Amino acid sequence: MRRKSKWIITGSLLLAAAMLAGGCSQPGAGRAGAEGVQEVASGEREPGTGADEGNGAMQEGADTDKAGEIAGEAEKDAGSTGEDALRPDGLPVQMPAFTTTDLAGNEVTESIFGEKDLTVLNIWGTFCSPCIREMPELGEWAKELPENVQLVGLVVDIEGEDDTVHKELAGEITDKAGADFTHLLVNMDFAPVMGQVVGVPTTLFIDGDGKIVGDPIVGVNVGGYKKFVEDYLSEQ
Amino acid sequence: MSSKGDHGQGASERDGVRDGGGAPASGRYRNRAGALLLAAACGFVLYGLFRGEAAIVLNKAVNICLECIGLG
Amino acid sequence: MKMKHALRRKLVQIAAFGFSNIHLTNFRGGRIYQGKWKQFCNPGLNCYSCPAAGLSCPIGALQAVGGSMNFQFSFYVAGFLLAVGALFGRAVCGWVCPFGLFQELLHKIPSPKWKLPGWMRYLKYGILLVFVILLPVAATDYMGMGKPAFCQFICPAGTLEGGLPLLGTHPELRQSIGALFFLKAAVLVITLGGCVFAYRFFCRVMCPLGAIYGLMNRVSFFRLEVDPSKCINCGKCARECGMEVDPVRTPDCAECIRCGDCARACPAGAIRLGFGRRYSGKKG
Repeated sequence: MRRKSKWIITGSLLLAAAMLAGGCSQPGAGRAGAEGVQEVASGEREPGTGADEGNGAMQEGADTDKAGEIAGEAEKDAGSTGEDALRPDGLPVQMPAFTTTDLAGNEVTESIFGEKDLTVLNIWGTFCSPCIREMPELGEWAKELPENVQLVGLVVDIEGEDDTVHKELAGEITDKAGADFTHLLVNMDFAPVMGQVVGVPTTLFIDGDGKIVGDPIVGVNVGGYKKFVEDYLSEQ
Repeated sequence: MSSKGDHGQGASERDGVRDGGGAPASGRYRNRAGALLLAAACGFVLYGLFRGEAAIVLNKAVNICLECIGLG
Repeated sequence: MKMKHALRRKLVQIAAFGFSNIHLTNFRGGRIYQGKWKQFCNPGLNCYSCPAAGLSCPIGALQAVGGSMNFQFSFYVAGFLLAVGALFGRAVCGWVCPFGLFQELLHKIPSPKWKLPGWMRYLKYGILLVFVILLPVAATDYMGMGKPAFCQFICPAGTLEGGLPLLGTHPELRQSIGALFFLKAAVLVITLGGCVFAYRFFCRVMCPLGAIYGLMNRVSFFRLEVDPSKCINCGKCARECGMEVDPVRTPDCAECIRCGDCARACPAGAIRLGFGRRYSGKKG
């Protein structure tokens, strides 16, 4: 009986040690999750403590010095000035000003919205299987869009400027899918929007002035995106 | 698989008890099998960690998987 | 003694449920925990899309790695499950699984109580094989990512703990409610109903995790033993068993969740649950 207990204790300790070792050696699992673009602790093994806020966009995840909680920033700015006015669903009325690069490496700012009457912004992530599955259809649709409408992607699981892993993966996905429209890489500038995004894919519709029009479509629904575009254009 | 394996009502003289399941499970055999399984399991865990599976598990768990909860 | 045992197990189950779902404040904002603990798996069944969940679901994790682009099989999660099973067998189900507790509570709702036909217990092995192991590897898209088929099409725990709370707190998700959701809702209703009428219906018929642990009942360190010198073959233990196991004939049955109700019912005190063997033969 005593021998048995020793085995069990040894086994359990081995298992525990294995898990600890694994936790320590994990390369930065920092992730800009679709949700509020949350940062999970990268590199260091800091399991989140029991205390969690969970109010609105603030989320658990051991902080590091990495560019803080994007969603937290959204909380701070919300409703402070006229420019940051919010829609009833929590999204900002106006798309925030941003500067980022796309997958091809070109710099893009919010002026991209002014180029067309309507922009369909498809927010997606490389971890998201349904997003990947709708990508070929989006690629085709992008080519068929009328002159005054554009399709733009926004990749959410890019963990910073140096994250080549996810950039490459996103590039591979768009290549294989034939979705060669512009794909923006998310960063902190998008906080006011990302704080309201629950899951991906989420598709927003933005007019030529940068205002979000209509309701966001959450989940795969290419038919829904197309319908909105048709209806919107016919109302103009 | 489970078995309503019928090992009879009487106790086998050698083992002292009827161990259900149809296995020649004397205590020692059983313990060795268990220990072996545990050792193999630890090996699996280490190998899995080594090839970065924990990151995949984490990734899937922290991003709301609409697919997983029935919203396609 | 009677009351004590049943209560003790309930308390352990409740504690386990609490530890599994510790981030209760997440319900308000409809967010999920995103910290590092989720790289570890809960030994029991608890959806990781549940706002309060602090660990990963092992079945979800199996599908996640199996369905990932570079791997077909998860050594990490399988190893974890084998280790837990080698130590405890299906005792996890009986003492620690949050969904198991939920089912037991459902069964307390007054209703006619039914036994289940024997063949139903084999369904869960089929579900394990097809939905948890094979489909994530087989049903892949052009990038090699597979569907988490059990989570997607079946798991009622996910619908209940993840789907419903998130739909409740996020109106924008409701537009995505389609045929799939109705399928899962139907599975959930059947499961809930089944649990009211039949003890631990999901555990016995559908749970892939129980299928895995059950297979290791025969070698697990934590075991159920019947002392042959005390047993009077009265059959009370078998009648008491909610999982319809006969502890005297098949103590290592893959259906036994080591809850100890049989030991409690035995008038001769012949049943023992614990580590190590006392009755299975003399020395080593």
